[in-house]
Amino acid sequence: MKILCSKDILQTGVNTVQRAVSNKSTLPVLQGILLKAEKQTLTFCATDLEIGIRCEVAAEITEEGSTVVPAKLFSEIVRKLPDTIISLDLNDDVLIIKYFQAEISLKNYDPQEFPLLPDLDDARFFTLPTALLKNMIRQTAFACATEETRPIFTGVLLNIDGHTIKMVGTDTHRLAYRIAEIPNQDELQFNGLIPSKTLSEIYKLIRDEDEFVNINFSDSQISFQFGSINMISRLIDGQFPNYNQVIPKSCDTKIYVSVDSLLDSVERAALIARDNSYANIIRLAISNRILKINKVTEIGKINEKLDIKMEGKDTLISFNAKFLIDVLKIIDCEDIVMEFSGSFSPGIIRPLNDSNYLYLLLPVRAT
Amino acid sequence: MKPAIQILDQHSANQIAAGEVIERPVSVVKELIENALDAKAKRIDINIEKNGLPLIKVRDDGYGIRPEDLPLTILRHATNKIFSINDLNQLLTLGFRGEALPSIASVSHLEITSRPQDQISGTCLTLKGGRQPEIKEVGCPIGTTVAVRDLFFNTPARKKFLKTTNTEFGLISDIVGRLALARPEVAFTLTHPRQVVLQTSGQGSLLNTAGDILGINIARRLIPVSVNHGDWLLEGFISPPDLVRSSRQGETFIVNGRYIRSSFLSRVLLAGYHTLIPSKQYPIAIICLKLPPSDYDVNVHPTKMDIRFRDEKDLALFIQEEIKNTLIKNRSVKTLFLSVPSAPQVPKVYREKSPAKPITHEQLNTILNPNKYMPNNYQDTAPNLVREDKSGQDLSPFSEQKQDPPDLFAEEALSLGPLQKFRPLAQLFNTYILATDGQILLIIDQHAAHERLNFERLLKRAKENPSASQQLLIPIPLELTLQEEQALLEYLWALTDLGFILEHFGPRTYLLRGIPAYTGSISGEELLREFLEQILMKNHIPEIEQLLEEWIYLLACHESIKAKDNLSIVEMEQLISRLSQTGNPFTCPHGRPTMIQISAAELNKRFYRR
Repeated sequence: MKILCSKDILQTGVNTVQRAVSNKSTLPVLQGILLKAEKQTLTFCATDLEIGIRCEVAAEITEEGSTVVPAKLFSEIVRKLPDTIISLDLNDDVLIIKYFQAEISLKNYDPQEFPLLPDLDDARFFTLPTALLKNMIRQTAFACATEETRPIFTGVLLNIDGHTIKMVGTDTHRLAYRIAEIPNQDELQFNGLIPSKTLSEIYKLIRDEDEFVNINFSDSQISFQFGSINMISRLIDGQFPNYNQVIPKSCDTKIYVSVDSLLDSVERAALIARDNSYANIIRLAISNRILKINKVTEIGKINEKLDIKMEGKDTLISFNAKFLIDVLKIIDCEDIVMEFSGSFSPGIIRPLNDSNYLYLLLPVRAT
Repeated sequence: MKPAIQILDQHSANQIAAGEVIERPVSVVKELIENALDAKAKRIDINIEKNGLPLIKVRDDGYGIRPEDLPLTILRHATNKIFSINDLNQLLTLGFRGEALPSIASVSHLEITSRPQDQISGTCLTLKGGRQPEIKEVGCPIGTTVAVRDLFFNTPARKKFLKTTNTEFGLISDIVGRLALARPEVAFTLTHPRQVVLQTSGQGSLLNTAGDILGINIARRLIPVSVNHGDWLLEGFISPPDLVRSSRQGETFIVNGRYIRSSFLSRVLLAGYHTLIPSKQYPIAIICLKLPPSDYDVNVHPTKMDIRFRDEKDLALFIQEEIKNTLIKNRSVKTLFLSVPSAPQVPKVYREKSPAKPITHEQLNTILNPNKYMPNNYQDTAPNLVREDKSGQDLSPFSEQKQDPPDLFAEEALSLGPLQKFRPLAQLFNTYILATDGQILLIIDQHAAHERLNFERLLKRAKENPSASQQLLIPIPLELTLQEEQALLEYLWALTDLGFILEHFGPRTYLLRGIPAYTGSISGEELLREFLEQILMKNHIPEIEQLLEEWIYLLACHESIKAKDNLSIVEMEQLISRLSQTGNPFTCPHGRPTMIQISAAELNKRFYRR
């Protein structure tokens, strides 16, 4: 294997795939990055067997071949290389990196041991506009659980039924739901749980100039192709609960409030409630077209008052402030509707005049 | 035809009973000593040869056995200690089953010599393997002597399983020691075979006896406990937290003069030391309980080493609290024993001087004027606000409100703790604070000290926080065992108070619909399981702060300054003064010491002054 390429190209490839390198694995080769030189393309590839990322870059290849470099070391070296043309030369299992008059030799892993990223058998296929996918991820993935006790809640449900696509994320304390229309898809059906980690990596890797994302899926795997990057991930096994059932269909109180002012108020109240060790619980008191947030703790107290439009009964309800702040930060409009049915029933937040997004928030029952 | 089921002859029955009661030589020693104690002996001499098989001889000066009673002693279920099963509720003697002597007799050559006070001569009964009884008149002192020879001569299997002479005799001396602790008013002498191995004075002082058994140096450091609660009386001695052992060997439990083994009491004792000693370390303790006989049952196992208490929960609470209180009252700082170099010119007397006495609360509170070394502005400072050293200007954001403080900011009364007189000198290695009160040099571990401070603050917070419940969108199904379900139902109210919302879903299945809102890094389900486990294993209803303890440890650790953090004098002063107000300034939450001390005397010794 003999390659000539610029430092930038190497850096791009390494940075892209490094997210998939496993930190600790009993399989040493998984701590490496597969480099494959074929025709005029250099392919970078890494996987931790959950996620795999492949990235192709153009390079001048004088001799084809492949090798696996130790990821951490190689990326450190690449970062420190001078900004010039770099030559990579594989000699048995030693990679020789040459620049100016200097060279580094690296002992490599055997590429034969590196797991092949699976090609999806009988995969079905659809295309999404990048901007839509990015936004859907942003609005749902944050609601997923981080701890692994119940794995199904660490993923986002992706449901495609003909022309509609839905994404749902929940950690059982709140639930984020996003629906959208996708053009020119016929009779496509899909229901799968994508790990939220996969989605957040995609979110970071997608660039604005990539216009479309091609998505392939089978029953157990899903792959995303955009620009020169191909990312494959397993799907989480398990039955996602019937979320439709838990979304209340009616409400006793409905309020209309500005996102910015509510976010500011809640964040200020959370400051007073915070003592970095405990959940921030804040209470919303709604009556007479005024929303009050009062908080008294040993460090101080706060009285927030917001003028709102409201329909229905007065109510009192407590929430974990974090769950409220999370959603207010990602909602794409100026005003929201909040719906409540008493202190112990879930609250609903939706953007005003937009039925494509819904956030369900479970109250805290204070004594 | 002969029936297939037959009643065993008495000899076989005795041998089988012996299997339970007489496991090894030490069991014989225990049974014989207990008989002697029941006979109101004032003096008990025990003579052992080798591992106890050749000879075990126990002589007492008790009231003796009348000649006409002597043959009855070796009959099964013959006893003078109770008359009917109802007497068990008022039982004050150690024995009551009437099994020991016949059991011993069936597996040895037994010789009982006894003379009651009103007889001129004694009577001697000999038996070989429980048979061929011979009675003759002999001359002997008042009391009873029981000699057991050739133990297990007719049960070779038992004999084969005995351990080495050292182990077996070790066990014997251990039990003699513990029985002696149970009866400080009786003089015990253990000889093996001529040499006196163990001897107690029998003057009735538990501390003296403890000195005889555990050694003078340990006994000197023990802290006395003595409290009562209704009918219950708890007495004894416990070790300070820095005197610990790596096994439970140092624990002796005595209930109404009976030495018992009890994992329950052992657990309760350890709970009293919670956060004061490191894990896997155990205190030295002699715990004597006096309870009405009806409050417990020893008829659990023929050896009577097990015990059941009627009111375990209350008893646990009582003992645990008292031990904790006693320890807090007697907190002491770890002394740094500087080993004096073994230079020949060091006179021997120096080594024999007792080390500087550890500081205790009482001592400190009585020495001098507490304000002498305190910077003036400590008196009115809210505990968590750091101020400029001398400016006297209040940096508190709430200074205006101080004039007329609302309840919210009400200041806690500053109680000055045991470290009030100490002022910091310097920081050493950016890790330790050196402080002195003019007499003693304290070396304080800044991280451990801060950790203790934060731990107590967070623990208090956890207690005060209302038990809010975060409801769950999708409930967690819980499958329980029958036992767990019982515990769950019994303590459903406690669980609801903690913030769990549970719903019955099916046989032994419950839905967890809400979890406490403050669970930190611990998942709600884990917390509930922990709760049930504590109830089932420890028989103890945990509070939320106990369930969250691990997490609170972690928080306290994270929120504390680390070693290598540079501190100014003002920060050190604050740390010391705040540490001083904690419930236990002397150990970090994991039981490691926060400080050690060096007295002026020790330094003098080090420099060969005086």
